[in-house]
Amino acid sequence: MSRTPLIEVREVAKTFARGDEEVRVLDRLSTEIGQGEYVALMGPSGSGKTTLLNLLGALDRPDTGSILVAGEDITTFGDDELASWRARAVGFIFQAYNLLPVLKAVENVELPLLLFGLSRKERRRRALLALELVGLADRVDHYPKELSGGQEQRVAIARALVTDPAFLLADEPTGDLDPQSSVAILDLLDQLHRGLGKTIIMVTHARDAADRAERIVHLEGGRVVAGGI
Amino acid sequence: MLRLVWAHVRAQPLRFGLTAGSVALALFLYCSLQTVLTSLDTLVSGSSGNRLITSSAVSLFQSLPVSGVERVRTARVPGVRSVGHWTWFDGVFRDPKEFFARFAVDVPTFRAQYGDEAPGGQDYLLTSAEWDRFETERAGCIVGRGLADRYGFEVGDPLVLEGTIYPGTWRFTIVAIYGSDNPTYDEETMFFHWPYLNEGSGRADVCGTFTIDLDPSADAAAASTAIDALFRNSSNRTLTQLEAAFSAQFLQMWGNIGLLFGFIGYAVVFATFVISLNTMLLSVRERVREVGVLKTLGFRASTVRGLFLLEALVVCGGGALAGAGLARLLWHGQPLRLATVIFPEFLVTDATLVEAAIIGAVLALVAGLAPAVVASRLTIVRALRSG
Repeated sequence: MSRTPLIEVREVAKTFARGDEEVRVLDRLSTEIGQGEYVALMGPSGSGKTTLLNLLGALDRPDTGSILVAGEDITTFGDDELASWRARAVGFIFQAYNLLPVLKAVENVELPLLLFGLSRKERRRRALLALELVGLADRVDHYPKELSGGQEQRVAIARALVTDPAFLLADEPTGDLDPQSSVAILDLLDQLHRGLGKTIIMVTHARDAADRAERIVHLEGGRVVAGGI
Repeated sequence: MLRLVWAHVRAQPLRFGLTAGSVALALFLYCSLQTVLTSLDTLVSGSSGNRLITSSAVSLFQSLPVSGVERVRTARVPGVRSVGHWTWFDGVFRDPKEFFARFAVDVPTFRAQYGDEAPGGQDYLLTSAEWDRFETERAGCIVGRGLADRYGFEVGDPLVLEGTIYPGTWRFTIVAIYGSDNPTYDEETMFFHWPYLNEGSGRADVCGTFTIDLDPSADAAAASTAIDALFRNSSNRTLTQLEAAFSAQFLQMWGNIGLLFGFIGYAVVFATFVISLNTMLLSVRERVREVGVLKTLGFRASTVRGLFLLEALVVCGGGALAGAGLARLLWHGQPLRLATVIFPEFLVTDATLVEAAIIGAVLALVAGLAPAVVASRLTIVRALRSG
């Protein structure tokens, strides 16, 4: 990897309790992800892909080790500091879209902008722009239940993009979609990467999805077994 | 944030509507009960400080010999300006449910104490000509404006009562319709001549209470003691007290209504609290994933807490406003009859409304706090895995 590292994961370990048993999901894992890179995380179930993604997005904390994003060790942040950091640095795309069903598409996209102290008009302008970017300019006033799975995922991508975060984290973004919609979403992620230079880290089980990435990192038993730096 | 809260309320109109409705009902009831208490207080506090009421020391329902009036008059008790008497007639007009108060009074003294000859101004408003006519017509009676409106009474109409305490058919002619601008005195009462009652009932020569007006500078306590001393050794011992104390004693016949009404009001509010708490807990349980999403997007735990509290405030506060507003709209300024007490003006005071608003806010805070804390403590990873 010749790019400047955006994310540096150093000796990160994470253990979960399952009943009486302690399961080490990440075992002193280290890796780096460069600025503007498109990385796919692959591996069998329980290999630690989603846990790593959660730690990169500061949705969870490692037991030991450090995660540096643009030189800042986010594992040292307090809860409120982490929340603010997530708001401005990370865009999340989930397998289940996770849109709020009571809000229209445009209101869902506006949601993260509520934390930026923008005027209502400016929030709406940016949300509409993001929806236009994902090809949903004609669905802004639709509720999630009125959209197809592919369209919902596009709204979710627009929501992830609207704050112009440092990187996007996508957890099985095509997992719930039919093949045609999957291709469309992967095309969109390609476009964001190539056209806008977005750093994307995607967890996937699908080989064809992983092949879209510049680099595939294989995890097994909580360690990087291939593709890591 | 408010839009997000409102979106949730809109999405579950039945649930939030029912919860807000229960809060509205509770606060409506609370305001109504509180208003009864306020109005009772007004009745007591609005009573004259220069007027004594003498009743039987045994019971309010025990009659006094009307000769006692003359005895007080002639005793020249210091400070006593005039002595009259009132007698509760009861009776039935058309139907027992058609209740209004009916009193037989000594009209000349009644006029001097409450009418155009009263030094403190009229409590019952009639022209001098109307007072004159009332004084001279033996079977004449006066009725309040409220009664006249209710039954379509006009001056000159006959008014027939069937006696209960005083058996027989009693025929009166309405000689005037009074008004009152004193909230202590209602416009729902009928007054007629005591001699007419006395003669028609076999000259028992008894009355209910003496009404004794004092000079403004009179020592009311000394006058009361002096009056009761006049009857100390008779078979009709008396209890003389200020009109306010008499009113309070009269209301105490209902028992401790303050405690009773307060208990009912707070019990209803407590039941509503349980309903609201249940609704809010349900709301959080159904939205665990949403909490996870909000936190993922960067919403702080305190903001999530605030969102649920705001939601509780919208539902409970909205309900409280609706309930209190309805009570104000429905009752305020209206006369109300409750058993034998007639409130000339049932006033839903600003203080009652403020109290209702505070109860609504506290209800929201208490009902919303536990769910809000539960929501704010959810870890993101666990919340996102739910559902």
